[in-house]
Amino acid sequence: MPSIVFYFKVHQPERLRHYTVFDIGERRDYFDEEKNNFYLERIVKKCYLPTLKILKELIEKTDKRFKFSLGITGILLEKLIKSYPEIINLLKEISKTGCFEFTGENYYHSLSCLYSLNEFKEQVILHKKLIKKLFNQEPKIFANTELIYFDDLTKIVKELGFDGILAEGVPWILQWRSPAFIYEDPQKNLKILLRHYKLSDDISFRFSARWWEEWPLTADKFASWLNAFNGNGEVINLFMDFETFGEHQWEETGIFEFLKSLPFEVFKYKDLEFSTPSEVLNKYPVRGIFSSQNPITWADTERDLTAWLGNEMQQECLKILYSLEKDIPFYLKEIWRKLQTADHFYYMCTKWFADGDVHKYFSPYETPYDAYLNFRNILEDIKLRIKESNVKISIRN
Amino acid sequence: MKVLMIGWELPPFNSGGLGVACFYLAKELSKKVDLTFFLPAKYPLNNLPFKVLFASEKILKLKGYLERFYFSIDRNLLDLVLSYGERILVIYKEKPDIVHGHDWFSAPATIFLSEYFQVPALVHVHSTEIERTGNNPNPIIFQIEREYFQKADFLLPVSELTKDVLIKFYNIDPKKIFVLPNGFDWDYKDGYLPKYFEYLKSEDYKIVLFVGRLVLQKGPDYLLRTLPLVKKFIPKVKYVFVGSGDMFSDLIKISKELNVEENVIFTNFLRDKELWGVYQGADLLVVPSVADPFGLVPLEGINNFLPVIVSYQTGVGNYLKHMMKFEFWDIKEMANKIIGLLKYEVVNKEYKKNIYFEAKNKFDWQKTAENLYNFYLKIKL
Repeated sequence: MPSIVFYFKVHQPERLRHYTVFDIGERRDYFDEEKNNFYLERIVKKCYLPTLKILKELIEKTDKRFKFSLGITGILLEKLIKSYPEIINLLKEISKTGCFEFTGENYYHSLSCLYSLNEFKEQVILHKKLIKKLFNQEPKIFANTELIYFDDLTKIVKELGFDGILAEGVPWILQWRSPAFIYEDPQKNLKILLRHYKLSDDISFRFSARWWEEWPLTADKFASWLNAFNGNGEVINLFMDFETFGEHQWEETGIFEFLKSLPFEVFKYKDLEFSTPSEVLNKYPVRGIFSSQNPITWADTERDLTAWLGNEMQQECLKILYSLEKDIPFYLKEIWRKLQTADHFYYMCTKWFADGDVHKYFSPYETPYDAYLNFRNILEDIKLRIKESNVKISIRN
Repeated sequence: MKVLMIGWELPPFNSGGLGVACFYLAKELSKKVDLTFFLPAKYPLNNLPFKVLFASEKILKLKGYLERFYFSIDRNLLDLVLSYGERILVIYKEKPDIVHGHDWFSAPATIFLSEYFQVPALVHVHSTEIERTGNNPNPIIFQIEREYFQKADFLLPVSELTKDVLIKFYNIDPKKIFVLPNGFDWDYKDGYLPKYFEYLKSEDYKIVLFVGRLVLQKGPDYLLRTLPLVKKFIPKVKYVFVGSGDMFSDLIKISKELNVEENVIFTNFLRDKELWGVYQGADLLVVPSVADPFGLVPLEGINNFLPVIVSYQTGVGNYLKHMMKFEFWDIKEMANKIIGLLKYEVVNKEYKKNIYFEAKNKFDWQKTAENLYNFYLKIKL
């Protein structure tokens, strides 16, 4: 009886304002509040509110047979608490149903696991605390930024109190094996749920693609594909950005109707069910080892990190940023952490020609070089402020 | 297919991009069609890869059309423009399939000959008077343009920017406009690096380059005004202005006012080895055009492995996704980008690498000629 596991990643970056060399040492407001509020309002209206309402209704209408999980970054939660308490309330109501699980996330949606394990731990703990405080849930499954996974990470994640981790079902690692089973890492620290990239992308990328031979994708067709796993799979992991609903796939494409009817089409097959990640970890045995020493992600065709650190501009900015860790004064720590958000480096990605305009679509900058200059100037200002703080301290002493 | 092409200048007897564009276009096109290229007067041109005829046996010492007639238009020129078609007819008798002219001075001849032979008339628009003068056109030239552009069966502007101008200012039906971006000759040519540049480099100076006529349309004054801002961050900087034009004395005056004379060099018009050498010795090329329908200069800079930034009003920028752009009037942002590219090495390196590959892939005379040939096939009677 295969279980369908839905996981949605919910994240919005704090975009930077236009910051020139002339602002270094002059302006200290790095974030574009107006733009951020504008984007947030749009995404709340187009995606978060309508989708959460649908999901809540689905739980009710199916007598709690519909289940899903969701990972929401800390910086986004902060914003929602402040400006959209109705979303927080909706999440509270949903979390009380027992049909829903919060995953552990990286608070700042950062790449810290690659640069500073200490910082990584702190950010994960921060997120855990916030979820506990707001929703009284203790996340047991971890979903890293962009689902970054590598074997060495599993020990730390285990120490942080997690039982399992979500990762990309990279075909060249799985080879002949199916992502539709539960795996574990070579050291047996964590159980691993692997994203079924084909079925996930059918919804998140191809849903409205007219060039696709399966277009239009209907709920009954999709349910029949899921049913095909009956007998040769135990978990079907559908992981995607929450923004799939209403933003990447507009309302006009029929994505909401699809979501509304999918559970009922699924229940026409008596062997299919929905589960949360923790439930499937308890229900099914581990069927094999999944291992990758190099970091893998759910991004692009390469499933690697090249979108974030593929060029020297990105590498330099990340290196400088994390080199400030030991000197950063407490009052700059939050800003420093917000600058770690992976999106800032994604905007500097230059490999547009290989995998198309996806990168450009999400960027507030005209070119990756503009993104670099903006970020780099801010780094210079931060460095200046650290210097100033050292001067202050030495005067005090 | 027989194409009668009516030009105005060819290198080395050219004043700017037009002659260069005509040369490469005719060269590639002549591989596909039976092409005859006309010039208004005789020049000592040898070994051209396509057939050239002269409408007059006289050797005319024409200066570049833009430089000479920027503010005034003299009687002789007007006569030449209006009689060009008849003079061609004296020499050229065989009916072509298409008549293809370039810019306003060939437009009357193009229309005249297309009516005579009863074949379609194409006018290639490399720039318009509106763009050349920052919407302060010479009324005679503007009138000639408007009349003959309207009479032409098809117009081939070199960029979307010029297409918009044709629609807005010349009242042209968008249906007869076909945008045909220029190609570019990507052969690398070794230049002659001036001794002074060698000295500047040994002293760690950064060289910011401007290449183009010193006229309103090209916006050299806007670039000059960034210098005090840039100097604050990069004291050892020199702005090198390559080109001549009527704004020269204004630029001198402005640099005095801004107190930056020490950091400015004017080289006058350069070509060939000397021009390439300047490109090869510079650190950054800025193209601050107020209006530039296409703009070969950015591509020349890219071909010499320079990081190049352009104004939004420079047509070529519209085709390059990687290209960094600014508003020509936004002195602060232009300065911000200049400083950023001079100060942070990695962006400089990454940028020039990517822009080179993109531009090389996009601007190719062979592709341009092929697109034009397909267009000919479509419209041929």
